[in-house]
Amino acid sequence: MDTTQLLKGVLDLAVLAVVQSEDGYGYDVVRRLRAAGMDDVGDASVYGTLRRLYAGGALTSYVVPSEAGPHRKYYGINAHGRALLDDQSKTWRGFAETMQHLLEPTGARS
Amino acid sequence: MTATALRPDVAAYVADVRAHLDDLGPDVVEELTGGLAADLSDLAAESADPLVDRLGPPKAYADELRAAAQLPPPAAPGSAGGDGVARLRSSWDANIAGLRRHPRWPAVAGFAAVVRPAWWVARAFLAFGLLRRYGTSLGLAGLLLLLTLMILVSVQLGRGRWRRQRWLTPLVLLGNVLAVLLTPAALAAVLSPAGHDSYAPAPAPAFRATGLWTNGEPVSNIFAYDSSGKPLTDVQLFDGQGRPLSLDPGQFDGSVDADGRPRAFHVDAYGREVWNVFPVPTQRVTNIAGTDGTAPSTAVPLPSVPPLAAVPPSGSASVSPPTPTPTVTTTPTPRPPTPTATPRAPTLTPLTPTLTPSGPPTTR
Repeated sequence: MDTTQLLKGVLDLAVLAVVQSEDGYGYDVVRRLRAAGMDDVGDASVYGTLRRLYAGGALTSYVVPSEAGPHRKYYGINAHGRALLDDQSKTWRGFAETMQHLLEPTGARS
Repeated sequence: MTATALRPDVAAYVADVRAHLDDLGPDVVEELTGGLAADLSDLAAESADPLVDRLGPPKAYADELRAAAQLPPPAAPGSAGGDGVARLRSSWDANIAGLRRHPRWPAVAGFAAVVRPAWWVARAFLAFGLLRRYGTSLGLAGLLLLLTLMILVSVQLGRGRWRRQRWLTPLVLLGNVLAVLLTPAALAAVLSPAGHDSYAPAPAPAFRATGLWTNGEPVSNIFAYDSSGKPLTDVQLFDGQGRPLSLDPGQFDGSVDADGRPRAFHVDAYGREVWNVFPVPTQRVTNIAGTDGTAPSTAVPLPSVPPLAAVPPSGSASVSPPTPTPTVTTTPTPRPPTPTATPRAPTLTPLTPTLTPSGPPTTR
């Protein structure tokens, strides 16, 4: 099953979860997502999601200047973002349980 | 941002991506790609594979950025005005984004979403009001039908059912702006009674301030006949208040004096021009012969009229026509037609005819 479709639905939640544990810049968030097992996530998608969450008021943003290279744009979570994270994770849990129940009888018969 | 430490391939890639996002405006581009250079540098440092292989072409990267950020797709290359419009839209987006961060925003947005259909109906109503004021004149059934049609169009547009074409969206936006701006005028038009037809020209006035009029028609001459039915000449006419019944000099395109004013046919003894002496000679006849004073320049419509039933017992029964000589001075004082109906006439001045007087045709 192609996971990209599934990913589109939960990318917001995943990004929020990653940023909530620690502030990060774009590439950093991508790496952490990949490390958690989401191989199929595209860089640009993560960047775009970060920007959208920021525009929606769920993330804060600050720039860390660097002498050795170009500056880095960090994202952090704020109160609104935390609320959003809680809300979405509840929804996700509920949805996952529903899918679980749906699939169990099929599994039980075998 | 120091570009010196950037690898050239990374710099090129980032520049390409930014170029593809150019239509979104500089603020949005910066938000999307602010840290891109640094991140791509890290990425490039990990592996020797070129960025294009790992990330895809810059355009694809830019498109994915847009999609994930839920920004509009790039404008068609043919639209020349797309750049300006896109910049406007991106700055608008940025402002809206700032607004959305306000904690109260969800409540307001929710309310607005519910009230939106009412706005669709309202704007149709306003447009209808404007149409009625400046345009059509239908019957009541026609007006109701038009209003229903406009509500239908407005609601369907609001629901997004007909928004297939690209050009329709700015048109609808313009319509919205106009509807909001012209609300006062439209409301006035809708609420005011329907008798306000500004197209009907004002009817010609039934009376004018100058000149003589009878039953709405202008009078250019008056022919007076005495009680026995013979025509009178050089009759000076006044109304009940003693005002002269003067003709409008503008009626005559006769000779004009040095100032361009029409020359009066008669002049009183003080030299004043008078316009209430009738009949007025219809042609200015110059005395060709020079000596002969008789110049019948006034054609009388009726040689004589039936005499009146009773001859008023006045001292002067009939007015003797003035002798047709150039220097005659006509009788100054008008005699009252009946002793009982004497107008309050001021003292009249004698007349001096300015031309060879027109004597009445000799009654045969």
